[in-house]
Amino acid sequence: MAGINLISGGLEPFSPGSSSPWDRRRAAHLLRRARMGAPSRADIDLFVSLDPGQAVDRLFEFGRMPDSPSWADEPTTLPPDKELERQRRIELIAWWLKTAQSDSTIRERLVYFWSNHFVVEAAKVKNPQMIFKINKLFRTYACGNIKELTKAVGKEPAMLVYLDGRRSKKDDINENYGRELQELFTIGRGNYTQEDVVAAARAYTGWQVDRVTVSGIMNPRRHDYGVKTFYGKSGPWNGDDIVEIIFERVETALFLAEKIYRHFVYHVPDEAVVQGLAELLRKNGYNLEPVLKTLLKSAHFMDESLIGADIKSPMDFLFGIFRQLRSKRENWAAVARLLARLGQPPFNPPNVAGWEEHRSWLSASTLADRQGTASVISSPRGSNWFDFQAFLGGYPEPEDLDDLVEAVLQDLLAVPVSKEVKNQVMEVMLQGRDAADWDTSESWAMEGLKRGLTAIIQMPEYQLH
Amino acid sequence: MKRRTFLKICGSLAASWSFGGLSAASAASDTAGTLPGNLVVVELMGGNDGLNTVIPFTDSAYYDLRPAVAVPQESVLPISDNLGLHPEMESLLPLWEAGNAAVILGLGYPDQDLSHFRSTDIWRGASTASVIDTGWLGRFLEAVYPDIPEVMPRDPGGLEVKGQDTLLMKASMGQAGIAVKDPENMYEMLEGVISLAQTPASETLAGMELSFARSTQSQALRYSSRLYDVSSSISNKVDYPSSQLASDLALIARLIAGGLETGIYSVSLTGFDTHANQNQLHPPLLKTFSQAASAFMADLEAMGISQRVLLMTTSEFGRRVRDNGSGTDHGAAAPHFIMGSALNGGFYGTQPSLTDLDASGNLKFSLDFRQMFAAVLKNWLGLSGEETAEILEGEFDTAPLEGLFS
Repeated sequence: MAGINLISGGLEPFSPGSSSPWDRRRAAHLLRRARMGAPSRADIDLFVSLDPGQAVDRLFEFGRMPDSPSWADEPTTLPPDKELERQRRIELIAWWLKTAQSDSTIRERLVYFWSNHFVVEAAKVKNPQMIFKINKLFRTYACGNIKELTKAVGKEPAMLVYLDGRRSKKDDINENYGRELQELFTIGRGNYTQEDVVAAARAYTGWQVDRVTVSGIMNPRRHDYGVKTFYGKSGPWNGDDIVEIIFERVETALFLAEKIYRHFVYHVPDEAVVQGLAELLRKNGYNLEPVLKTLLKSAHFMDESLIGADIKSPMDFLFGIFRQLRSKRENWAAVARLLARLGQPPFNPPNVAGWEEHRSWLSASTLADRQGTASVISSPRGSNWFDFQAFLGGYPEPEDLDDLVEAVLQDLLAVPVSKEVKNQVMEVMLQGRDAADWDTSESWAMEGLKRGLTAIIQMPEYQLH
Repeated sequence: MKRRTFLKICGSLAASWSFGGLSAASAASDTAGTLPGNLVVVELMGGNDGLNTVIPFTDSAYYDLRPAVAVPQESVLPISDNLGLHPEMESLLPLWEAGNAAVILGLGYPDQDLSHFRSTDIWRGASTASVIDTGWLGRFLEAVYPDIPEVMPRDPGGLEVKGQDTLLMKASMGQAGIAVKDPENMYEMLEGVISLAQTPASETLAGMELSFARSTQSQALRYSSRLYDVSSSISNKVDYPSSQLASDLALIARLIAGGLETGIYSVSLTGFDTHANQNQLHPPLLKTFSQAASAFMADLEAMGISQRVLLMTTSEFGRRVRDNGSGTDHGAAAPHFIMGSALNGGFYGTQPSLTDLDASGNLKFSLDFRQMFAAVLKNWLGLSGEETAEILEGEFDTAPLEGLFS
């Protein structure tokens, strides 16, 4: 790491200065990390006009909950109608992608965060009402109380199916949920024993799924009411008791703080900041909102070194393009297929640990797929997807090519690029013509604009989040 | 199917890089510059139930402890007096009978970790250190190609036929292999991509991510046409079943037969975490694996390259001996397969006892999985004992696998 500027600030509030101004670049950084998909020019305009603290607060002003899919509360028919379920899963994916992409707050980012934390896979759960229900739970809690969310997750039908809790009964204990609850959802490996896994599994025995009402129900005949010893404490614990005991441990706050840090800040945790976040979590009784606001408002989060120091997820990559290039209409079924190719099939992470995120998003294959996807922008289909006139309308001087390209590069990329790059983008746009002839009412110029945007989005710089 | 106008004709396979100090370079080989043999690692993700794969069908403890998931004795395919394959693995029998398949029994490691993720890291890293940040094949490739990334070999050192790179081929300087799911798609995707000048990466954390994205891109640009050319220059000689694993292996067969100098490959098959519904979930996975592996071996034979290729399975752990009424929880020791026509097939190692279990009720391992890796590094990939110990960060006795590679 020699020569690399590490992050200097801590959790104290960011105060803009001459070397670290509150500018479009920092406003865009906040919006990339806190919402789904990089911001449009208009978004940056709006947020840079607020002060940094107000900008963060604005992201927590949630509107009403989105309308549920029409079938969300329908009881499940038995036996399941597989074809109907398949269609509804497709509808649900489209519903969520649309909801997430159009959200102007941090709420859907948190829905994504929790769904990559309390993981279920649609391929195993199958039932669309259940998948919707846990997605709604994540939206209901969003930045609420993590301990209560953890208790609720343990009773969710999707989770009872996914980690086999519904199979676990007094005489035939299934360890799956008892283990992942501790390893992945709360305290992390190294802080519990195999005996604790068994004790937690026993405490959760008896939960079953009522497929008609799509709810988790406790079947007392299957529950183990015996005394369990968990983290050294003995009692007739049930699932909620287990969660209470887990959340008494400082290691739980540290584990969750690290997870939050890695997602919102940087893939290598900063020990002091994580420690600070853990203390805040405990001080706030595991309410996430004040903790997350402190983080996003901090000098640490706004440090120059971190702006662009992550790799876009496929959802962020595509949603950012949609926001930035003013998409006209999204074919969400096609977007879902594309996300799968890019390594992020909606509702189907690879395993119970979720997507690894960060650098794991980019391999030779998936980077090639991202760059090939960007070619669509300059293809004849590009104009079906994006409103390039509206895109240009956001710029004060679209007829001054130099100004336009300068501003577009700043809006679209997290890190600055050289004058040489700017000149090359202009050459790509002009295709041998003179810059003085640039005229956006000419069709050659619009084609040039599409090629220029394609070239920018194909840059490795565009992968930075 | 393809609109490529030219194919690079690779008559000469002269290598353009050095092998550093490793003896692999001078080992017998029919293609200058390549490793003495190719290795294909098939990862069975989720923890394969070894007891329902290679079944101790004469052991009453097996039937006593597994009332819900035991395979009935009469349907087991015996391959010895007391061990037999799962009935869905019938397609492996010809390989077994021809002596081209070995079963390595009782593989595990001390203090088995029951986490999927930690144990996968332990297997991929061939290490039980508290921090595991390189893979055993990454360390191997780094030793073979000591000058990457400055000097890149003509063909990738290792290829993961996966959507993403894994720890397996990670070396201290970054990924020593490349992850490519579909060379044709990658080639097409990169056609027409505009490359602009590189602004020097700033000395920030963001600059480090930019350098990472750029190195991934240069890998893609460097290898996409080569991988595509080779994979499309030759056809498979047998029909493969329709599964993702089978098409991944079919691709590897074409790449090796087509002359790609890449020595190390990996593929994965997921779904082995059979906590519940094991009787519905596990047999089809064994069938998918067996049919794909047997088609792959037949294809290699038909292409005349079967002597050069070794297939080896891995998995993070086996499963609990006692079932849970519907499936099996995380376990410890399990058997694995090594296949190839250059081998002496049969059993190696010792079947663990089903009654002398560890504190969690799991099988005690009788062979450290790194002993199997050591045998592969020494006797297949041509390393000396000292080099092998360096890659595996310790000495691992290969005597129990004596005779596997004659």
